[in-house]
Amino acid sequence: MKVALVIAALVAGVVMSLSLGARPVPLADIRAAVTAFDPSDPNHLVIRDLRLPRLCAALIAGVGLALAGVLMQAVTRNPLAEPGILGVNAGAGFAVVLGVYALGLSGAASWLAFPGAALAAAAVFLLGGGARAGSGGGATPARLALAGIALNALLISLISALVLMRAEALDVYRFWIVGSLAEAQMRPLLPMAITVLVGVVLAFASAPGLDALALGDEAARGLGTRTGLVRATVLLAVTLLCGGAVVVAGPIAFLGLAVPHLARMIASRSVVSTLAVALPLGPAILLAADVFGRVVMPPAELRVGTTAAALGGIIFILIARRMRPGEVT
Amino acid sequence: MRLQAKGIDVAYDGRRVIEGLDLTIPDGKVTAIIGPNGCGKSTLLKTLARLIRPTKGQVLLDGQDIHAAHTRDVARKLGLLPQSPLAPEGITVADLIARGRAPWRSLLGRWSPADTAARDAALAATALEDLADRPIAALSGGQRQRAWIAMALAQDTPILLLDEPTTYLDLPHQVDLLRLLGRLNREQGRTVVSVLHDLGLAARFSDHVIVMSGGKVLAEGPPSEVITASTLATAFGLEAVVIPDPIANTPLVVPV
Repeated sequence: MKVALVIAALVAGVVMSLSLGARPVPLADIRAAVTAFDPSDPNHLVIRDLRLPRLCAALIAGVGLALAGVLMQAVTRNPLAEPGILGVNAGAGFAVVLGVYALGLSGAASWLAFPGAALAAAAVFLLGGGARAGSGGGATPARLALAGIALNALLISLISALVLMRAEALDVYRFWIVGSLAEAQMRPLLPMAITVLVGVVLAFASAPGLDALALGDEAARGLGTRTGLVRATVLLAVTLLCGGAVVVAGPIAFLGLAVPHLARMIASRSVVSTLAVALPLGPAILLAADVFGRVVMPPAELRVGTTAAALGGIIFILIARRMRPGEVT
Repeated sequence: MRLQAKGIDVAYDGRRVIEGLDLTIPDGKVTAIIGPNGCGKSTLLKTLARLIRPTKGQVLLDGQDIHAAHTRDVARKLGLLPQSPLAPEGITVADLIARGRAPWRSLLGRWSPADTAARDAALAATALEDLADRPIAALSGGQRQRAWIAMALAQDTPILLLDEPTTYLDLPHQVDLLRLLGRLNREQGRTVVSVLHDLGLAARFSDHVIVMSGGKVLAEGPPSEVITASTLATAFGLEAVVIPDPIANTPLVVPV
């Protein structure tokens, strides 16, 4: 029932995203733009060239960030883990700034977000002891979280240093750092859709292992779980999901944090059902935030990074207020 | 005999804890591993449960090196209850027990009638039916430990290893728990191996006792043969008189 509501919200978000904006497009024209495209109709052009790419970018980023948040919170056993806090977004940002600073790139620099996010995720995993097997030196939730927070701080200070030294880097960075879907048509949507899709498959594949890991490493291994393999799969999935999301939309705060908490309130306790709810919920919230940003002060628009953070913040405060002491959603 | 250690050396954090140990776990019996703190008894249990790989020698399960077998196949034969497992926030008793089915479930994790049967049998064996939908966090210490045992039971393994299962319980709950393990052994024929601290309880509720000292097996056998004044003096440096328990006639340790 609740899942049906989430899916209905996603469908509503998709329709509003295509229809609303500086130039409202009636539903009939949306269908015609897909089935019988007429290049002379401005409504069709808006749908084809702007709104469909924007919708695709929102789906990619919404799914990527939401599932990455679920995986990170499960593998670190820390309800505050998310791509932002664990340094993945900072890694992407650092790579973009470095691209502008050292290579003189501007528009193409958003591509660099992918290797930046991937390297940051891998570094957190390695610094957190994720590669070491055994009960002695392996990854623990606290160690992973500390590694992520430390790396995040380091990368942000490096970004500050670079943008202070070069004005062009600052210009690119300050637009990039607040995620946006407005440049979606210029982003590599198809490769990132495939990337995120692979991440989704890996996320679901790692779910039973994560359920076992939630009982502690020893209990998980006693249940026949290969803990190193589960963590490595999660790392790869997080890398692909976050990487895909930041390339199409830039870093979007709070989505990766708030969606897993909401999803756990709707889903049952298992990771697989949380993932299944987060899958439509992430893009539904991102689309709602994006549509809101487009209609609130026309003809200008608020960047989705801003509205998503505001919406996510409100959701998160409501969740926190409903929690009893000691409880984690 | 299904579970054996052959000439194992085990190092933990770079320190050699167990040296040249040979051991056979008797099938279908309740075995207690006892010994002073730091003697390597928990390390031995973890090594038998394949959590630690010996630096020398082998642990054999059904004649095969336990590290050569697929860990999932091992998990269908050998269950482990660690000393301090974590309960995921908000998880209910029934959900926790269901997680014990992990080694039996397919890749997509479909829940089968066999899973339901195993979960219900575990609930019944541990008398937790009425608490099935309660969150673990709402249970008392004794009930919580029974829930963890139930999870290990749902794993449906002929061999069950438990690392200090009575540690955080008061005496009546320790006795309850050890009686439960005895019942599981008698009624279901499971081989039960526990690391225990209390010598009197180990003597009273076990068929077979393994006394460890300094990373070696000092003595093993039925409690009445193993728990003697001289073993206690050697293993624990404890001067004690051992008298027969007035109820069960098992050895009772009275420190001097």
